[in-house]
Amino acid sequence: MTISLGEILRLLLSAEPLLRTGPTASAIGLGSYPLPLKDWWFCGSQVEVGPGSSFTSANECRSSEIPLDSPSIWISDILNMGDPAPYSVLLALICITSVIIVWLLLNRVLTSPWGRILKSIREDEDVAQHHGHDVLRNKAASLALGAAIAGLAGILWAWKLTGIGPSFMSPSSTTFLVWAAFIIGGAANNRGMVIGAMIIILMESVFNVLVVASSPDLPLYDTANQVDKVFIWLVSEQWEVTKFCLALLTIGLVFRLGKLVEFAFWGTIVFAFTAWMMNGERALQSATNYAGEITISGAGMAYVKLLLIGSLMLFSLKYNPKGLLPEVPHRPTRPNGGEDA
Amino acid sequence: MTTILKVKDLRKEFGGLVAVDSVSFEIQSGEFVGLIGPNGCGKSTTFNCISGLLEKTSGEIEIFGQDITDKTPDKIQKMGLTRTFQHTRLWRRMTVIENLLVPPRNQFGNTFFDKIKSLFRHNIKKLEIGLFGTNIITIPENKSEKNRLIKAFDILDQLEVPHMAHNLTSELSGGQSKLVDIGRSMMGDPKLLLLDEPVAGVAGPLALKIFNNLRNLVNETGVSVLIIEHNMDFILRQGVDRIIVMNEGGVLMEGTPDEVRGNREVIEAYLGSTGEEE
Repeated sequence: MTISLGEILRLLLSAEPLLRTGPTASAIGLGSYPLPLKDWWFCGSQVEVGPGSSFTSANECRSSEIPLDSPSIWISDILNMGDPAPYSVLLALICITSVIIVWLLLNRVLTSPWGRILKSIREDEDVAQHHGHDVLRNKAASLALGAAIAGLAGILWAWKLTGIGPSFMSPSSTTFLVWAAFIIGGAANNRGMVIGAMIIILMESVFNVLVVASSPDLPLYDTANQVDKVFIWLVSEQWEVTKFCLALLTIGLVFRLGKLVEFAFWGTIVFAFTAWMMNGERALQSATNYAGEITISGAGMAYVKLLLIGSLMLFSLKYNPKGLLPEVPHRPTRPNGGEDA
Repeated sequence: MTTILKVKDLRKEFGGLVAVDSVSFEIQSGEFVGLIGPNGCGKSTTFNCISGLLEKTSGEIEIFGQDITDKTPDKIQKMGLTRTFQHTRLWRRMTVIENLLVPPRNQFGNTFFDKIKSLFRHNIKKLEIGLFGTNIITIPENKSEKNRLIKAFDILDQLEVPHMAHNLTSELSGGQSKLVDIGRSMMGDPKLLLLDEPVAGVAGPLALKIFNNLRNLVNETGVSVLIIEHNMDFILRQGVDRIIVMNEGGVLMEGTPDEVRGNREVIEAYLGSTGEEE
């Protein structure tokens, strides 16, 4: 329901001409909007910024020869960065503050009368309705609250990107990730959600580095190379993989490891079948690059990210279905007295 | 004594199957009425039609003099009717005390400002948030929330399960779940309580106690109770005012427990056609 509403909204807005106010008028999306506190961050409160002043924009303050008395310099001195601290440091501080505020707010709402009514609707909406609560109204109100928080997150995100377009919100890269975050972290509580989001975002940034690591001077090039090699081996050397699976099968049979036997048995069958169908040909022969080397490095690595997030979700669901940090039920204690009230 | 529930010529069909046909009865305020009948005779369907879960095919149902056609279950509950389900449906990932705190009426107050305030000011003790020994913010206790909580614990005391208050309801045994379900219905301050087999699976002495408590509740507060019970021997001895016997989708007879006990048709309905052969 929420997802379909979001998709409808996204498609409608992508056709809205008023939103085409980017750097080029024909482009879809928003761009070059002012960033909050940017002048203050780079120029401090002493320096005036404007057409008549010596600094016409915040960027000039940032690149000025004489260090200005500004927050970005203070932070840079504390962290020993050399250059003025980038604007994203300020954004990070704003984000952390908003997370804390939203956290406190939601924790308070979760234990309130409305919080337990929402929980009861989650558990069994028929019964909640039979105890006098309008399911549709409560659901709509919770959707509104959730959308408000998502809107706040959207503002912060837009400031980080300095330009946004409807295509940034494709379901495979956003909706799916949010879903993965709460399955891994644990639904229905703030700690689980934050932990899950952290894991997903860390994984994503590591993989973004891996994906572009196509030359030896970039970080994580060795890891990317190893991952590539394993995949090339799996895809092109079918008979070798079959032999490897047979060896695993033998080990499993000798040591009576049921799961290993099962895994190796099916591995053998799958790879032997592919090898037989390929007639001994190497599967990736046509995928060689101009130099004649087999490679799936570069953009091809993007699929590994989705693969790994997917398997993380599967493992999480199989071995820890409640997530890393499950929901904590509310347990109010018996109040003393109370007859006076 | 006023009529608070009036069912007249109620008919409910599922596709071609007629589950309930021309059922009529009335319940006065302060009455404790039993509804019995063999399996599949339409007791629960009647309940579902009264509580608004199912839409009736034809007939009239009036609660407190108001027609309930096109009313949703939450509106009907707000009129003063609360029901339980035959298969106990507690909210399983919530604690017992949380389950009891959902039904009370008017938890948010009336004005918009009150509603917003209820989201944040629901602590039962005075909260003092401060730094270095000085109070910055003092949040006073919420008296209505405190009273709700006291009432919930009192009800758990009555039902003899106060030690389970902080367990998840999925951890309760079948009998305890039934008790919590009854307690939850009582939290909504009903004027008419429909209980669907409330003591099935509850051990004998406790079942007797539940009935005694219900009897006391009826006598003290003037609430009306309509109770479905499968065990006929049991309900005949438990001091209900009146018994409605249903069979094959219709009302077979109405009367006091003594009248029902002596009625040949009822015994036949329950035991098959053995009555004549004896």
